[in-house]
Amino acid sequence: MKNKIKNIIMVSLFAALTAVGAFIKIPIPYVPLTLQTLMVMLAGLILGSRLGALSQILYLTIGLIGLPIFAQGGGPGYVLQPSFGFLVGFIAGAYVIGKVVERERSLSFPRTLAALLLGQAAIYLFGISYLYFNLNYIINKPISLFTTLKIGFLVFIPGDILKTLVAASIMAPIRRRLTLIQ
Amino acid sequence: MKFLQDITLGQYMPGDSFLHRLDPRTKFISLLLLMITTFLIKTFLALALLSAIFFLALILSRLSWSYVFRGVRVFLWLFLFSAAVHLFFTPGPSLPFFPIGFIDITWTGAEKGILVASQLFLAILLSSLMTLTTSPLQLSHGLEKLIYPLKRFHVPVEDFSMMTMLAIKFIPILLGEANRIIKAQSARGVDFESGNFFRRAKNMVPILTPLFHSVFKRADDLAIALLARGYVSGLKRTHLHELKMKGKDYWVLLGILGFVILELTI
Repeated sequence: MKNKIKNIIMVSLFAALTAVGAFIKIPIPYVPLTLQTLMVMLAGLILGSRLGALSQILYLTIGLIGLPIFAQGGGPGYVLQPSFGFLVGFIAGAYVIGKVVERERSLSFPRTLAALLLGQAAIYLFGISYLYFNLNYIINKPISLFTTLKIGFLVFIPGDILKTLVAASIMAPIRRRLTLIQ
Repeated sequence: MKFLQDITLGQYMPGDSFLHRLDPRTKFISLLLLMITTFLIKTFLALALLSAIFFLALILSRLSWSYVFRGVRVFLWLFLFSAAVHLFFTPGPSLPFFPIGFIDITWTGAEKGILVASQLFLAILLSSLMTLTTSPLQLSHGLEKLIYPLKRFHVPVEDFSMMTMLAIKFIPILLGEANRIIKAQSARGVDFESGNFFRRAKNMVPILTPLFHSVFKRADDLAIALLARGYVSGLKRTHLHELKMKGKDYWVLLGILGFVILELTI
C-alpha cells in the first residue's frame, strides 16, 4: 500500500516540478535553457515509462483547467496554440525515455543519451504533427509538410541537440547523488 | 511574490453570478460543443450569432469586460499571425487601393483572415469564461465525474483526481523551494551568470540535486501521513461539496444543444 501511495505522490510531484521547471531559466546566450524539458526527461528517467507519462498527463490537465503553468499561461483555449502539440509530446517523450532506461540497473552515458534523443524525437513527432494540423485546419492555411518542418523543427534542432547533450551529461551526477540519498 | 499566491487559483475570479453557480460539468460540455461549433461555421451570420451567445454569457458572468479581454492578451500574436497569413498571402482580385508596393490584400484574403481570426478569438474568449468562473478545484472535480465511466477500463479515476489536487498544491511550494535553493547556492558562490555554455549548464546540478532531495523527502513524509490517516488508493471517495446537476444545468445544456444545431444548419 505504501508503495502505491508513494507512486501517487511522486507522480503529482513530477507534474508540479514540470510546471516549476518552466519558470526557472538559466541565462545562457542564444539558447534559453529552462528546466522544463529537463524535468520531462527526469520524469521518464526516475519514474519509468508508465508513471512518467502519467505525470505529464497530469501536467497537461492542470494547465488546461486554467492554472497558468504553460509557457504562455494556461486554460482550455491553449489547445488552439500551434505549439500545443509539443506539450502533448511531453507525455510520449517521458514514456519513451522511461521505456529505454527502466530495465537498466546502472545507466551508461551513451544509453542515457540515446534515451533522451529518442524522447526528444517523440516530442517532436507530436509537436510537428499538431503544428501541421493546426496550420492547415484551424488557422485554415494550406501549408506543406516541408514548410511545417522548416518552422517547427530545423530551426530548433541545433539548440535542442545541445540541450540534450547537456542534460545527459548532468544526469549522471544527479542520479549518483540521488541514489546516495535514497 | 504575487505569483505564488495566485497560482493555485489560476485565472479564477470568485463570484456568485449565474455562470459561477452552474455545475462545472455543464460548463465543460457547453464549452466543448461551442468550441467545436466555432471552427465548423463558415458564414459571418453564424459568427455573429455565436458572438451574441458569448456576450450573453459574459453578461451572465458579471465579470468586468476589460478584465476578460485583457486576459486573452497573451494570445494576441496568434490572432495577428492567423489573420496575417490569410490577409497577405491569398491570391485573387485585390481590394481597392491595393497592392501598395509589394503588400497586396485580396477580397478572399480579407474575408478569410477576418473569419479565422474571429473564430480563434471567440473560442479563446469562451474558454477563458469557463476558467474565470470556475475554480481549478471545481473543474478537476467536474472532470473526475465526467471521466468516471472510464473506470470500467481500469483507469484510476479517483487516484487521478487525488493527484490533480496534490499537484496543484505542490506547485507554489516547489516554486518557493526552488527559489530558496537558487539563492542559497548563489550565496555559496555558485556563479550562474558567467562562464561558457557547459559551465553554466553544469550549474544546474547544485540546483537540481537539493531540489530532488527535498522532493523525495516530502514524498516520503506525505506518504506516511496519508497512510496514517487511512488513505487507500482506488477507493470510492466522497467530497466535502458534492456536485449536483440542477434544473438550470439541464436547461442550459438543452439550450446550447439547440443553438449548436441551429448554427450548423445555417
